[in-house]
Amino acid sequence: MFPMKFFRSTGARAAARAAPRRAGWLAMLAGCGAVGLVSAEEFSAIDRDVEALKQEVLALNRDLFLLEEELLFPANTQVAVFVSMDVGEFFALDAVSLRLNGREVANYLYTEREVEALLRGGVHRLYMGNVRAGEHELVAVFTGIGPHGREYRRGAELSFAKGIGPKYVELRISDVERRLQPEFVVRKWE
Amino acid sequence: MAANAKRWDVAMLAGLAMATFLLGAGSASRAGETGADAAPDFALKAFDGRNHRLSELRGQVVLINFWTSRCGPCRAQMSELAELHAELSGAGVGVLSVNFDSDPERAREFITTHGIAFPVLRDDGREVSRRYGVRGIPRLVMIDREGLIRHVYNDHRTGQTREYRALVLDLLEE
Repeated sequence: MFPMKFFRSTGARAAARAAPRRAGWLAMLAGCGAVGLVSAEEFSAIDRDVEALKQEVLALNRDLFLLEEELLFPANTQVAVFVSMDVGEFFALDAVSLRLNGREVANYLYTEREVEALLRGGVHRLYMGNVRAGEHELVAVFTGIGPHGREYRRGAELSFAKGIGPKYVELRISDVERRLQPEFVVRKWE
Repeated sequence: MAANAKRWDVAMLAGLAMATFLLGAGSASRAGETGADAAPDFALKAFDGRNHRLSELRGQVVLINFWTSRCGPCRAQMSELAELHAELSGAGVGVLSVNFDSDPERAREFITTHGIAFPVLRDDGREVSRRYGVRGIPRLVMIDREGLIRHVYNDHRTGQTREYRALVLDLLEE
């Protein structure tokens, strides 16, 4: 549930919300129609058809979402940055700020629910954008509460070369037990 | 016979789909008539240090008020909203309060003194206030379960909470 929520765009989410609502209307209308017009068997068949229709709408919505993403972020320019978290004993995440080639492209405040979702293995897509092929520099600044309840702010950076394929970058927050400190790693997905 | 039944089913489904489409369109136009735009999502830090995101309250009726502690009607509204929140928070009503006092300590004092239980968020850069078109305070925005802005108040009179309450109950029943 969490990754879906995080990964969908606002428009797609709105469409996704509309689909169950319309299906609800369909079910209600089918119910009204069933009162006097159709037998129980026919109603059951209609119910199945309505369910199938609902599934088709959901599939269509998913396809539209993917198509929208492909159009807005073509593979040859696409760069996406994800945030993941492991354990989190030494760091309570508050926010991540992201700069790409010196320009701030994302600044995200994490709520308790979102942090909990990350700790459960969720991955948050922090940024998706377009860059030209060539060398780029990414700087992520993490803020939160570190060891001993102190405010903690740490940066991590990565230089990467953008080729013809999409570029995925992961910002990973993990604990280093032996140092009793959090660790912030930026890595490229090949 | 079977073919006829099948045709009947298809016709019925087509009719239902058409009715659904029309109902959906009707609902959208109703929303347009009442000026029901989608409430812009935001996340802000509260005075207690927690972050809150509007979209996490989706499914609830949400009241957002914009205020500063120097404004008399704002303080009155805050107190009345606190009562409304105490009464209806269990029924699916959320309140987010957006403060932009230049001195946050004044707001903090008000929150403590009046025992405000709902999140009071700091909008230091006034970015959220701008997105909600706040030009004067207090401003109260009522958002329905679908995340649409349904009612906006640009002032507050003592006792007006009765009016808010009636509207909130209507939105809860939808």
